[in-house]
Amino acid sequence: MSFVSLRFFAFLGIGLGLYYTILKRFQWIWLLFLSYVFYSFGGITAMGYLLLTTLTTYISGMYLQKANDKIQSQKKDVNKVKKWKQQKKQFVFLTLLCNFGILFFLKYWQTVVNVLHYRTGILLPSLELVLPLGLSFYMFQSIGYVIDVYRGKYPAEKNILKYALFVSFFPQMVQGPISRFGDLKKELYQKHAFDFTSIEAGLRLMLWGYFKKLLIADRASVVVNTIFDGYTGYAGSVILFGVILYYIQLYCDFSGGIDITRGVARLFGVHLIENFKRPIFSTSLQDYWRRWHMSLGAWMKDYVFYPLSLSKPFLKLGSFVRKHIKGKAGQVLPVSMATFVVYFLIGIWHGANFKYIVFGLWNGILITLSILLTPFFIKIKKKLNIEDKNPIYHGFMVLRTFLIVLIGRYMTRAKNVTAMWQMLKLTVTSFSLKALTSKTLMTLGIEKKDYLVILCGTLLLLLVEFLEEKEIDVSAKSKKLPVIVQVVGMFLFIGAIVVLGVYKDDYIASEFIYKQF
Amino acid sequence: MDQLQKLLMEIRPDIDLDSNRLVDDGYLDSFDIVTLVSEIIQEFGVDINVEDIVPENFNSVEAIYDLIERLK
Amino acid sequence: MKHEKKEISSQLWCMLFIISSLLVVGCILLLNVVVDPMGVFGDQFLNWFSYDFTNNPRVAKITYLDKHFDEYDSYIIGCSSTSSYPTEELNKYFGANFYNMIMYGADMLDVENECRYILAQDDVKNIIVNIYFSNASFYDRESDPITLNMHAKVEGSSLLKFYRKYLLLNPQYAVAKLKALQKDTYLTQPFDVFNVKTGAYDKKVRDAEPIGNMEEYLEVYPVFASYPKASYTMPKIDETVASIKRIKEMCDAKNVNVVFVVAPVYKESIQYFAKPDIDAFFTEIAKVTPFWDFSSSSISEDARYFYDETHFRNAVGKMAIAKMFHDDSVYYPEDFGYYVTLENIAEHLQNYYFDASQIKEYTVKLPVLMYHHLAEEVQTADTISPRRFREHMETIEQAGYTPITLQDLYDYVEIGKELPPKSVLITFDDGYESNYKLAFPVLKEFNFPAVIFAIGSSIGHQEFYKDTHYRMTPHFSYEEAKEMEETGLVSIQSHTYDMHQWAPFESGETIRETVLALSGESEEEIIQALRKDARIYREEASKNLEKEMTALSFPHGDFDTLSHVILKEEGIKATFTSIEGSNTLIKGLPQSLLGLKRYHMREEVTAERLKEYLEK
Repeated sequence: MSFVSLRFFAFLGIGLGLYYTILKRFQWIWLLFLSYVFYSFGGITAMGYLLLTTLTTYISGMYLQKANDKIQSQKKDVNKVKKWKQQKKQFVFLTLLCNFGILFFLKYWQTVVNVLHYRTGILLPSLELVLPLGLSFYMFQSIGYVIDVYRGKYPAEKNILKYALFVSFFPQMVQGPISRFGDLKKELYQKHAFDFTSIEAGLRLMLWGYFKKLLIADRASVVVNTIFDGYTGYAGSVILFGVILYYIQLYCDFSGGIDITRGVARLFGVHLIENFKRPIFSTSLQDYWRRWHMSLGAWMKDYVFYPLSLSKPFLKLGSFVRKHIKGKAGQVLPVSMATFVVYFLIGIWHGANFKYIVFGLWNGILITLSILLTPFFIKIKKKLNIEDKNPIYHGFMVLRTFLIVLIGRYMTRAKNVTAMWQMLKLTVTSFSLKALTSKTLMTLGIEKKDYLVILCGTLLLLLVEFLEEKEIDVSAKSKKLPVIVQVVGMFLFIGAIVVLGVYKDDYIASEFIYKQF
Repeated sequence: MDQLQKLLMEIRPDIDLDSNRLVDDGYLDSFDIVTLVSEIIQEFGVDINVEDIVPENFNSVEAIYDLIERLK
Repeated sequence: MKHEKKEISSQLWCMLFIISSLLVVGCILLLNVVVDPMGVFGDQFLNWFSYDFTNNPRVAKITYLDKHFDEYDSYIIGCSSTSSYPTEELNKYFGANFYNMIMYGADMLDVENECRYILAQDDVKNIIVNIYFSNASFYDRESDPITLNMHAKVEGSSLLKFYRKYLLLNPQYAVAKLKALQKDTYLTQPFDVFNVKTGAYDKKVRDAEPIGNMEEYLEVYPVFASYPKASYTMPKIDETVASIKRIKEMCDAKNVNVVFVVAPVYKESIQYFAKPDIDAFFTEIAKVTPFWDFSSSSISEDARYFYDETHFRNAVGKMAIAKMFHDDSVYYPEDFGYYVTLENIAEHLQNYYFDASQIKEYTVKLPVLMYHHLAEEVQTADTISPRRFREHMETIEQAGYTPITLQDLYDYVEIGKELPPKSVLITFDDGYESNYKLAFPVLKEFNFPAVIFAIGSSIGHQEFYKDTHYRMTPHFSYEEAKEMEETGLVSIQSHTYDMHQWAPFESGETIRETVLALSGESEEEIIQALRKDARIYREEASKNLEKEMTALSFPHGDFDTLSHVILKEEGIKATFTSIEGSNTLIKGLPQSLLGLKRYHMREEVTAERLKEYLEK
C-alpha cells in the first residue's frame, strides 16, 4: 500500500478513528492488527518472512533472557556462568546466521547467480525472488533487539504479540527508521489519549514529507535517470547538474519518506527517532554521516563499529602497530579499518556491487585522513586565528563537505565502477558550462514548469532547514501569523502538493489523436 | 585521574575537561571513544566491553574514571 | 509597542488544516464540474462540447445526446472513418435526422455498447454501423481510462466510480480547457475538432483546401509519397462478428433499419492485411448480414480522395451514400461499392482487388485565362487591345480548344459529365464596360462562353469611383450585365461586392483591398465583413440579375484558409486566384474547384505564348 493512495488515507482514517475511540483500551493490539493488514498488501510470501524473523528473534530473546537470569542467579558458580555465556554466544550466532542468511539470500541470490554464470558458466536457478517490503529495516531492528538482550541492556519482551508489533509497526515498514526496542517499547505499548498536539505534529510532518517527495524528488528522478543512464552523451557540466539533482532527489525522497513515516506514527501518538538532521549543513564527512540516515549509522556504530574496533584482534593490531610506529597512526589504524568495514557494509546493504568497495574506501580514507590531520588543522587554525564559529570558515567547511559528499554520490548512483570513473572524468575533462543550456535541459525528460517546481521547492527547503539549523522554530513562528494568512498558506501548500505532486503522472497533455486538422 | 585527563587531552586537544556532556555535545565522537577505550585498556589494564560503551559512561571525566574504577 | 503574538492552539491548527484540505478538494471538484473538460457533467457553464468531444468522444457524446436525443432519430456508429459519411447527405437520402457517433479507435464492442444504449431510446429509425479492417484486429482493447473509456451508463459499470474519477480528475485538464478557450478560433483547432450538432469531425478547414494535381498533393501530404510499411493480422474476427450479430439482432428486435458498411480504404493500407484474412472476415460478416463493401475500388487508388493515410474524405462518403441509393445525379465510379450477400460473396472476393489497368479517366486538365480591361491604348499591364483579344480567340479556335461554361465545370466535378477533349475557361476580372463593348461582341461572334467577375460596388459606375469625384475606368451596368447573361454565353460572378477598394480614393477608416483580415483585425471582424459583403452582393444579384453567384475571383488574387471557409459557407463553389498555371479537375472532389490558377492575358501574350499556356 503506497503512502500516496486514496486507499492508504482510508486505511489511516479508519485506523485512527477506532484507535482513539472504541478501541481505546486495545490500542497496541489494534496497531498490531493494522500493521499486519498493511503488510498483507505486500503478499503472502513476504508475510512468511516477517513471521519467520519475528519468531526466531522472539525465541532467541526469550532464551537469552533465561540465560541472563541463570547467570545472575548462579553468579558464584564460575563454571556454570562460563557454560551459560558460551551457550548465549552460540545462540546469538545461530539467530544472526539464520536472519542474515535470509537477508543475504533474498538480496544477493540473483547477484550470485549472475556472477557465477558469468565467471564459470554454471547456471543456478534464478528463483525470481521478490524482496519483501521493509525486509532490511525490520531485520536490523530485531537483530539489534537480540544483541541488546544478549548484552543485557534490557529484559526480553515476554508477550509475543507485543514483540510482533515492535517488529512490524507499519509506518516504518516502508523505509525505516531503524528503531531500538528500548526507545520504542513504551511508545508502542502505553496508552495514548487523543491529543491535538500529536495530530498537528503528525500532519505537519506528513505534509512536509509529501512536499519533499512528490514535488521535488519524483520530478528530479526523471532527469537523474536520464543523465545517469546515458552519461556518455553529456558534457561534464550536465553530469554535475545530474549529480547535484541526485543529491537533492535522494535527500528529498528518503527524508521525505521518513517524515511521512514519523508523521503517521505521530498521529497514533508514537514518537519515532529522527533519521536526518539537515545533512546539507554538515561541516565534515563524519558530521555528515552523523546527520544522514542516523538510525542506520547508530545501528552500525553500536553493533558493528564498536564490537569490531574493540575486538581482541583489532586491539592487538593496535598495540602491535603502536609499538612499531610512533604517533597517531597506531591509534588510528584499527579505527580506520573498522570505519572502512562499516561503510563497505552500508554500501553492500544498498546492493551487491564492486562500486561499494570503492565507496567504502573513499569514506574510510577521508575519515582516517581527517583524524590524522586534526592536530595539524588545529595548529593552522590557531596560527591564522580562525575560530570555528567564524561564518566564512563555517561556510567553507560546509561547501567542502558538500563537494566531498557529492563525489561520493557519483559512486552510489553510477551503474558500476567504470561508469562512475567515466562520469568523474567527464566532469573534469570536458566540463563545458556552455553545454548546460535551457535547450539541453528540455531534453532530459521534464518541462520548464517542472524545473521551476524543483527550484522553488529546493529553495524553500533550504530556507526552512537553514532557519532550523539556527534553532528557529519555523512552525511556531508560522502559528503566530494571522489566521487568514495561515489558512491561505496552508491551502496553497496542500493545493501544490495535490496538484503538482499527486496528479503529476496523471495528466496526458492532450495527445489529441487527430492532428490533421 | 590526572593520567586520564592527559589521555583525553592527547586525543582531543580542544576538549573542555569540566564538561559533563562530552558525548551529548559532540566533543567525543565514536572514533575518539574507540581510541580512548583502547588507550585505557592499555594504560589501566582494565577490560572494557562493548556493553559498557554507552553515553552515560563517557559524558564526563568523572564518569569515565568511575567506569575504570568499577571494572578494576 | 510590540506585542509578542500568541501561537494558535493545536486544535485550531487542526481545524485550519481540515478547512484548507476541504477547500483544496472543493476547488478541484468545482473546477472539474464547472469547466468539465470531458463533458461528463453536461458542460453547463462553458457549453463547449466540441472541446469535450475531442477530449473524450465516447463520454461527452453520451452526455450531449442525453439532452438532445429528441433531435435525432438515426445514428451512424464506428471508428474515426465513420465521420466521413456526411450527416446532411444521410439525412437527405434516408429522410431522417442522423447523429454521427464516431469514436476514435472504436472497436466493435464499443459500437455494440453504444448501439444498445441508443436503442433504449424511443423512435430510433436507422442505425448504420461502419466497419473498418482494424475492427478485426482489435476487440475490447485496454484503453486510456480518462480519454478513451466508455460512459459508465453505456458500459454498465459503476456510476459512482465513474463520477468520482471525473470529479477528482487532474485539474490540469480543466486548466488546459480554459487555456484553449483563450485560443479558440472560428477555424477548427486541434483541441476542438468536432461539430457538435452533427457529431462528426468539423472538416470545414480540410474541405476548403484547394486540391489539384498529384505532385502538389504529395508535397503537402508526404505520407502518401512514402507510405508507412506495416502488416497486421485479424485475430479478432470471431469476437467482432459476434458483436455485429448481436447488433443486428438488437436492431431487428426493435424494428430498426440497420445497415453495415465497410469503409473505403487507401490501397496501400489494404496491403497491410493478408487476403485470406480479409476473405475470412468478410465471409463471416456475410453469414450474419449483407453489407456494403466500399473498401477496395478505383477510389482507393488516388490519395487525393483521402484526408490522410487512413481516413477517406467527406466527398467520398457522399459518393458512398449516393451509391447505396443508386443516385445517378451524383458522381461515383462504377466500380465503387458492392452490396455483399452470402450468395455473391465468393464472386466478390475473387475480384476483390481493383485492377489499376482498368482505371477510367476521372481527372482533366483545364487552363483558365484571365483578362481585365480592353482598350485601344494599352496603358497598364492588365489592359489588352481588342486586336490582341481577337487574335487570342482565333488562336483558341484554331488550336482546337473549346471554351466551356462555369456549369460545364461544375458538371464535370459534381456529376462526372465529360468535358470536351480540349477545354479552356475564359474569365474577366473587375467588370469593365469594355468587356461589354469590346469583348462581348467578339465572344458572340466566336460563340465562346466566358465568366466575368464583377466588383459589385462598381457596377454601373461610368465616370467616378463610387460616390467620389475621382475618375476611373467605366464599369458596365446591371442592364448590360443582364443582356450578356441572357445570351447564355456570359456568366456574371463575384469579385466581391466591396472588398477590392482602391485605397487612394477611399476616405473611410477600414479600407479593404482584399478578402484578407486587416492588420490587427480580429477573426470575428473579418468573418463579419466577409459575410456582410457576400450578403449584400447576393441581394443585389438576385434583385438585378435574378441569379445566385457561385464563383468568385479573389481581389489581387489574395486568399487564405479563413476566407475560403467563409466563402464556401456563403455559397461559393469555385474560387479563382491570380497564380499562373494549369488546373486539374477531379471527378467527385469539389475541392478541385477551389483556388483555380489563371494565366494573365496581357498585351504581350502572343498567339504562340497562348498556345504554350493551353498545352501546358
